Amino acid sequence: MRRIGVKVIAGVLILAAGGGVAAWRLAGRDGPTHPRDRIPAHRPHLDHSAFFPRPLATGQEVTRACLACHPESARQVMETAHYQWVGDVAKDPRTGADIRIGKKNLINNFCIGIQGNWASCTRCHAGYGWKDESFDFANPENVDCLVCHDRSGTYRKGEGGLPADGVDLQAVARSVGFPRRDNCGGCHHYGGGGLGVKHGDLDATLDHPGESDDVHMGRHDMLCIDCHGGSGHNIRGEAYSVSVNANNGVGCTDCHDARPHRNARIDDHTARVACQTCHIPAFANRVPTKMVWDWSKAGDDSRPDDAHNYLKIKGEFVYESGVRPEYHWFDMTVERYLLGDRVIEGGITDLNRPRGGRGTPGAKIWPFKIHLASQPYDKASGRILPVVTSGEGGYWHEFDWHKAMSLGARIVGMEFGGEVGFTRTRMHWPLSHMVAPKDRALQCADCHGPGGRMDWVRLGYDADPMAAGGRVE
Amino acid sequence: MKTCWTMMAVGLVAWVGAAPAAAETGLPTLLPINEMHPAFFLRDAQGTPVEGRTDGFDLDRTCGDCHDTAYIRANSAHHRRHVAVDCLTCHLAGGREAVAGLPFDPVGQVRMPMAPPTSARCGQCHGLVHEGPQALEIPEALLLGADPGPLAQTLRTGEVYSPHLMSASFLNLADKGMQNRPWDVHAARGLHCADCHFAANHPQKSKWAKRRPAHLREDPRALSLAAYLKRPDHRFRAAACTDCHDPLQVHRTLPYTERHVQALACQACHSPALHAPALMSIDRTVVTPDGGPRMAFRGVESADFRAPNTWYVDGYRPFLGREADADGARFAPFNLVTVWEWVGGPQGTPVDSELVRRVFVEEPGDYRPEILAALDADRDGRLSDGELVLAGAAQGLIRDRLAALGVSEPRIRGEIRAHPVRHGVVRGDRTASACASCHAPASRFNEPVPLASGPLPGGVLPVPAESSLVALSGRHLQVTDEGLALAGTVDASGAYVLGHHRHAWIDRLGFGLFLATVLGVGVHGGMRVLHARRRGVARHALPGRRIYMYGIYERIWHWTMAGAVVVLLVTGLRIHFPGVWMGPSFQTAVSLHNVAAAILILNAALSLFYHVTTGEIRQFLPHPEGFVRRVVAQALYYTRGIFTGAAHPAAKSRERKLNPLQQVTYAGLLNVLFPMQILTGLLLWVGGVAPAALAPIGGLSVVAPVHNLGSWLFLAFLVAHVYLTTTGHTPTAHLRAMVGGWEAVEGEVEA
Repeated sequence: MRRIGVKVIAGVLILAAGGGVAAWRLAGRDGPTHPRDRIPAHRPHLDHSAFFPRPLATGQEVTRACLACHPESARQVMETAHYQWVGDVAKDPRTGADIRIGKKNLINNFCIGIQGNWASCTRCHAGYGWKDESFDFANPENVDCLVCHDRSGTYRKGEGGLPADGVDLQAVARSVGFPRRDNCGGCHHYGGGGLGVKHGDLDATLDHPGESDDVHMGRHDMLCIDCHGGSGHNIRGEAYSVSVNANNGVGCTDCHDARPHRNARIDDHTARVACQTCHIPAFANRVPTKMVWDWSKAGDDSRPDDAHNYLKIKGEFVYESGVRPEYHWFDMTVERYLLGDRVIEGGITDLNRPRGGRGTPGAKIWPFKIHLASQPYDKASGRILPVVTSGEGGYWHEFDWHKAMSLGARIVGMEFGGEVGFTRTRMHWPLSHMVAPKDRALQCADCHGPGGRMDWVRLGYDADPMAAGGRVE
Repeated sequence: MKTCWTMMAVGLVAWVGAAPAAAETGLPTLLPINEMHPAFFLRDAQGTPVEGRTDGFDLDRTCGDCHDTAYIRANSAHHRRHVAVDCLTCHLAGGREAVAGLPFDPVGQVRMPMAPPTSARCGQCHGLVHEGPQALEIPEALLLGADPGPLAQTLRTGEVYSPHLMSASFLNLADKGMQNRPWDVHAARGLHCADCHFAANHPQKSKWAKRRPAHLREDPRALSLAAYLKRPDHRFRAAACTDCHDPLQVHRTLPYTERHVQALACQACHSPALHAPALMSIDRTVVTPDGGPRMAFRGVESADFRAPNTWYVDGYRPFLGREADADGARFAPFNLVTVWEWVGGPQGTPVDSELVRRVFVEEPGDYRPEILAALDADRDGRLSDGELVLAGAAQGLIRDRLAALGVSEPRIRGEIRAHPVRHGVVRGDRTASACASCHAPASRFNEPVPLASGPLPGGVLPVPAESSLVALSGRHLQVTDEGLALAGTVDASGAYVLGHHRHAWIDRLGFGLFLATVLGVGVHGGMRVLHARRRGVARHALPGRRIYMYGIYERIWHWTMAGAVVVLLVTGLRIHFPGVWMGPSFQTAVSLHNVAAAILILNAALSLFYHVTTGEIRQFLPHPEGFVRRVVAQALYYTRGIFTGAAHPAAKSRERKLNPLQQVTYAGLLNVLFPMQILTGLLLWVGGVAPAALAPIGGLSVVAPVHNLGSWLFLAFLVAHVYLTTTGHTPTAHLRAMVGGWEAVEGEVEA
């Protein structure tokens, strides 16, 4: 019996051979890690109710209390764009110059710019008291912890970003937890001055989305921070309305395989087509989004006010829902219109034209919401100047474009030639949210063949690449 | 007309199906249709240009300016007696009617947007083709049951050619959310009908259409464009799946790809289910209140309600039959439609459906009173579906009326027609890939196919249509309580489907052998136990001599062999009786079986080498002297001595491990059964990977039953072998020896 080991080994070898075959066959069926397994688990947040035993009067008081235990947090937040409203120094892809841009110093297609209108714009600022240029960005107590961490659902911000009247700050402070969709959505779902105005792929639908509204947040109940989370309060993600590159961006391939379709032909598309192109077949599916904003029609007393068509203070709008995106090449850099640039007289000035073409390495075809506006500019210099609207003496109070622009020009130290004209501007909003379940993704015939939604010639192809071949590498 | 051909060749890039399809679906025209097709004069039958008007022109003369219309007419499947199409039906969006809206240029010529036929144009006559943004619905025209008609192909088989996802249709599909696949994957991939159904001399397709010698991968000589445009051969060819696809490059998870590809039409797996209403039976002997024939559909529920989009559609799996135009046994999917119709004349020519209609219906569209009186059994003034079955007096009435209308010898004929399913193709991940759908005793080869329910029209039992005889071969009719069905097994001569085909007598014989062995062993063992009890102290309880019986290698090869044989038997049973045995999947069982067989063969070869080179093979060779006497002695021992505790007639020793009976058994086992199993097993494997190599000896249908018989013998041997290990000095002495090498044998303990 001494040599029993040998026989055991022989037997084991046979079994192992059989088992190995079985295991190999079974293992072959499943691919690499399923992206579902990469969804972070959320631990219940520590109950903070015991830490705030006394009533709290001001936001700063709350922040002080937070900092007692989280001494680094305010410093971290203060470095981010959520607080600074400008990003890091970036190379302007047009000029190569170093620029530092953000909401703070840019013109957009909606409420034009924040300069002179701080008090109302900074309702969405992650800080307290930014009412004018004198705001102290260096004071850690001015950081608003609650807007992102409130879990009571009762926190509201008023002018200058201060807590609105009637908010029970103690109750809010006791409720804090990690940010959920409605924390982020409180600002991002209402960008541009109202529900769904700005993005088209972000609106309150995503607070409680159904499966077909967004497969990540609907089917898998994912939170914004599951993709956008970063360490040290540095929330990941780039909005190409205020950024010129993707340095801090989030990508589908952070979780998903770059060639995930188990179909060679579809996978081949991923080299030149962004995931979003097929997987976001339409945006603003439930809540309409603003597609056109014509400031030149503002100030007409004879027209009735109606939030979705006309407002005397804002002019004329066009809202649409279930919109089919426009498709452009995009290499993840944009040409940003900076304050002082000249507009294209008689044409359309792009405020953030996506760069890239069929021949650009790394560029892909992306879906965009295209927003058109007609907004005031200084006819003499051919430049868009910030106008004061909500601020004192602003257009919304006095309906005087000349005065509004004079005030705005003075604030930014630019010269106003004296005559206000209107020029057409355009913004490109790349879409990344409202990702449809895969069975609602675009099918071949949606883009290729008769009636397809791609304008192949404009995208740089001679003809439909399905018939004529794709890109020459 | 000339222009369309130009375009066909030159405008390949533009493949413009685009614009006409768009026009038909209400989309704006997106592309210029055909810049290459020149403007031309419309000519009348005399060849004189007709100016300023778009009627009264003659297409043969008009198109004949450039194209050889006489040739096209003579070589066209679309210019047969009963087919009313002209050049414009297929090549101009909107057909002849669209000409009226086209402008003349100052010279008096007209520019027509000629184009190759789009799928939508083909669909006007051939079946449901659906493109464009609207959700797909089943047109009401389906209820008219017209054949030929715009939905004919859809009606016959349930095929739909559309890139749309099924889940996005209007149909009331079962499990609709899960049906997120296109109606046809080729449509979804942007293929048009004309991509596969092309003119026989189309220069672009010559690589498919032309026969070429084996040493050429491609024959670059092609008809010039000009020659082709002059005389396009309208006897269309259909591309085979393998013209584009190489099935051997995919199907990695399918065992024996070559054999599967040889034996099955691609659609057998890749058209797994059809979800548009497909006919089961159609009774053209009567006219329903809708004005059409009486129809029953497959895969739908509640089809009584006359709105096809509300029917609850489960879909049906097409039925396997033999493919008529392939050599050997190739199985392809079909829908079987039973048709009853009035025929007349000596040839049995079908009576025009309009004539039948006139017999039943008066001008405003109501039934004639005498017809109503004859058929309306419940006297409610309406004819229900159940009442619309001809028999007896009513049948006589219709027959007489038809005769009065000039039909000679009117009579009812029933035919079963097998319509091949070629579309509705799905990607590999959606196929009916469950092995057991074919590899099981009850499988697609012998599933009963319902043909009709209720009483048969005129009591006429249908017969297979002549063109369907091959598809239906092996099957026969069966009248059941529920109606008519097709029973029997698809004629699969030349094929042997593992798990489905087997010879019952071999299984019975094998199982009998197995059972007999088990019984014999049981009786023998029982008697040994009884005798031992009666004897009291068993002889083998006495201490014996221990000798080193089996060397290490002998034990390794023995147990390797044992393990392989057990795996082979278990997986073999799993393959032979799918669905009966628990255990690994069919596919895994096949793989395990192959691996174990490889191990066994290797092990056998190594041990043969060992036995030959060491001379151990002498163990197996009986000494001729006194062999018969010793065999008898051994047999007597097993039948008598073993019970009484007699000594083994042949003492086992290191030099002589096998008794004479074992030597006989192993001579058979090693010289007959082993080689036979290995050879037939290898042939089975060869038959899978290179089916042609096996054809000369009759294919799997010869080899597989032999292998099957051999495995029963192996099983019986295994039982006896295991039992006989207990006949040593002690019941476990042999086993211990084969494990540890040392065996206790009879005799004095050596000091």
